[in-house]
Amino acid sequence: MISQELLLDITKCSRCGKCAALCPMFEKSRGWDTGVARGRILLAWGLARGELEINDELIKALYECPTCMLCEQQCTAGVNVTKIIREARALVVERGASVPFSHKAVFDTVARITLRDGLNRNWLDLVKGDFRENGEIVYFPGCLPYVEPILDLDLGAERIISGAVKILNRAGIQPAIIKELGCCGHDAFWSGEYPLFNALREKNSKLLKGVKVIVTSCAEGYMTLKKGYFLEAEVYHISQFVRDLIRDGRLNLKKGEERVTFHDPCRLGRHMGEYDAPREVLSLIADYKEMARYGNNASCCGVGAWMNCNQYSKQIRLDRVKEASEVADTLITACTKCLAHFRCLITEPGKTEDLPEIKIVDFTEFVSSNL
Amino acid sequence: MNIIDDLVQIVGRERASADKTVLYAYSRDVSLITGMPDYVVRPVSTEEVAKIVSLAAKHKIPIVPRGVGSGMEGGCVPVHGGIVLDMRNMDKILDIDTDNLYAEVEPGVTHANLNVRLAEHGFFFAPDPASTDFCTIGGMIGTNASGMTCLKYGNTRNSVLGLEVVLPDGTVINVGSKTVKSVSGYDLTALFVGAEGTLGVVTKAILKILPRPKARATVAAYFDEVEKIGEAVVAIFASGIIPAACDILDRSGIKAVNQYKPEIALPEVDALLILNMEGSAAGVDEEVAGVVRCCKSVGAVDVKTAATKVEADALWAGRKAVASAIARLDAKKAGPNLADDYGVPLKRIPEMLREVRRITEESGIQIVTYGHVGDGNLHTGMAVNVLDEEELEKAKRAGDEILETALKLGGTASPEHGIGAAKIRWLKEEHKSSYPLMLAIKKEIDPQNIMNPGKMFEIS
Repeated sequence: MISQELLLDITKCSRCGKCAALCPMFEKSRGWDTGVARGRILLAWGLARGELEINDELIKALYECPTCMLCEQQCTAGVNVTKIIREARALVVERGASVPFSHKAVFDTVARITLRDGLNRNWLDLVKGDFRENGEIVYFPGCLPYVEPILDLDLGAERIISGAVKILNRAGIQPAIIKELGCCGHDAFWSGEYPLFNALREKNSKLLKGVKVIVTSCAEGYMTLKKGYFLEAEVYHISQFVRDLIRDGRLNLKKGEERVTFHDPCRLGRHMGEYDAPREVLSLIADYKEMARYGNNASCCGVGAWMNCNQYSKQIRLDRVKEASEVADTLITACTKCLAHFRCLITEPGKTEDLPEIKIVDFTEFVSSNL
Repeated sequence: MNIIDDLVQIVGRERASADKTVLYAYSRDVSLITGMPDYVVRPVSTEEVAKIVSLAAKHKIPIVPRGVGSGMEGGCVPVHGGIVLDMRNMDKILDIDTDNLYAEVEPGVTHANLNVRLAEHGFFFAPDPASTDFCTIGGMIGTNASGMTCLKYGNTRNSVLGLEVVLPDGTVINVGSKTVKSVSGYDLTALFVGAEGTLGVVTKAILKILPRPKARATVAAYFDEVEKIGEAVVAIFASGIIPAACDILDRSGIKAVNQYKPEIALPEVDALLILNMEGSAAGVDEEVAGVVRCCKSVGAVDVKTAATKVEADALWAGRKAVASAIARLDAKKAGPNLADDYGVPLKRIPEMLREVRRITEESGIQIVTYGHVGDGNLHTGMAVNVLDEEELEKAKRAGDEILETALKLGGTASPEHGIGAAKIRWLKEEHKSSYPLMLAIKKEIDPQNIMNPGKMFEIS
């Protein structure tokens, strides 16, 4: 069901076409108008009003959008583009269509598996440092430890999770890692699989009862727990938490000479408005350089929620990595998806010939190596 | 009859579609007009366009050219179905010849992209629509668009030297020339500019380009009565000054802009007049002083010259955003396009503005007035809940009343947005004596009525 409120939101789109000039995916595809926000919003209208039936093109149009929010942020009419697209996806799911997940939908399956009780999470054995099973300050690694072995990519899961623990330990904090916590539900939410998201939220919320602070190294996890859950706990992205620890004099970092730049994950930046924290921290420990497009104007990495990895998203990420290589030797990001997408580019077989030499490192791993 | 296989034959499977989802995405523009195409095609060459048009002529299928679809009168909406030509993939800038003051382009290039390229040479294409970032040159030619700066530099028609056009039978012709002036024969270039695709498909354009002005200044004059703006405009011209741009924003427009970009922080007065002066540094200084004097003489409460380019750009960004920003005035209301564009002789501006105020009060609809007041060209935006049929009807009636008033005052129902499908009635009313000749031209060039049918004329 599309609500009256959402229909009103849709009518706010004047179809002016500004989004066509902004959309990173459309810039690459140069395809049909179904490939820009304006077109997708019109499709949502058609779907909601019963003027359109679900077919492959409709699913492709709705799910190809990485919901990076670049268009929404600059939309003159203030249209809630990403919300409309998400609700249209939910309508598609509600009517029985399958979500076109990439990677053979394995991550959707993983999310469902994490709902099970008593699951044996071996990855915890690899985590170094001083942590406990329960407590008031929780570190949440998100789905990172599951993603890495499935993708067969070195994302540095162990280094990131152990790194987060190390950072917190250095500030005198013994975090809890609640092993029963499942997938946060980010992808379920953004793919329109609301029943799955609700089940994950319900399970995780119970496990997080009584928790005062949650720190996560994942931008999607941060956004989902902070905006999509109804928790008593304060939720921090680790860049914010580290910045605050430094400001409070509880954490000291070593200054290095490495030339680094930061790719703003859309979930941390445009969706949550946090641009400064990672920069403040990185400026203290490295020779920080800014890319041409940064902050609220940052380019998308090309994907969102394991759904739209295609030739265009691959071109977008190549452009982004090249852009980073113009100013830095290391590209740092703070989102599992961005990290996986970029690292996949530089490690996949038959990689592009003009791929620049650049390291792709997660924010948490980088900070922990500069303690 | 299904011609999708023939279209695929011409452009390939990737660039021709008869898929219902794809078609639906081409069923609207900014207006409230709707119409489903039967096919959508993205040609990349004149040859492809000619073949498609020939195919359409053979089967008597409508052809509807479309740029980015930012038109406001339904000009690119396929009200009688047919083939929509999405021209955006024809976006090459073929030549920039600054010595001869022209640029040759394909129709899908956006106005902003062209001007970015021209700026590298110290030149610009003068017509300046608010939709610069996304509108295409082809769309501008179709509607004879203008924008902020046409007061000084003219509209699109004044800046097109020549065209390549695919006629309704698929023949390709060239009109105009690469010379700055040409009076050889009927001015067919002028005929195709503003024809809204009803006579043929523009596939190339030779555009007049100009050196960028050496200096520019932006002045903002604030008024406690919107009608005084009309007096200010008349006073400015009377003093011998032709500003490059001279635009109005009323109280509701100011509010909408402030909601869109709070950092612009426009004072919430009754109306704002924004002016640009361009030329030599000395000339601009002199004109600024003159404009300030004129605004004060008719009772401006404050007149400010933008101190920096950033400040000036912010003012114009606000002005350009207002049409869409109207949707921000009320959570439940959108900004549908109704009576969006009309013009009156300059001396009738105060009277027109008074009438708009009356219509606003009587209709109970929140009406925003903005536009290129220096041309007598005003725009209306309305904050309306379009899901509320009664409210929408009321807004439509208010829109009609505004257009009727403009015509009564000796004005026009379309200074720059075109006729499309939304203003056919008004075209007839405005040009009672010459309408039959326009219709005759249409019938002569397009006897099968396949070129964008249902636009400008409704031929049974």
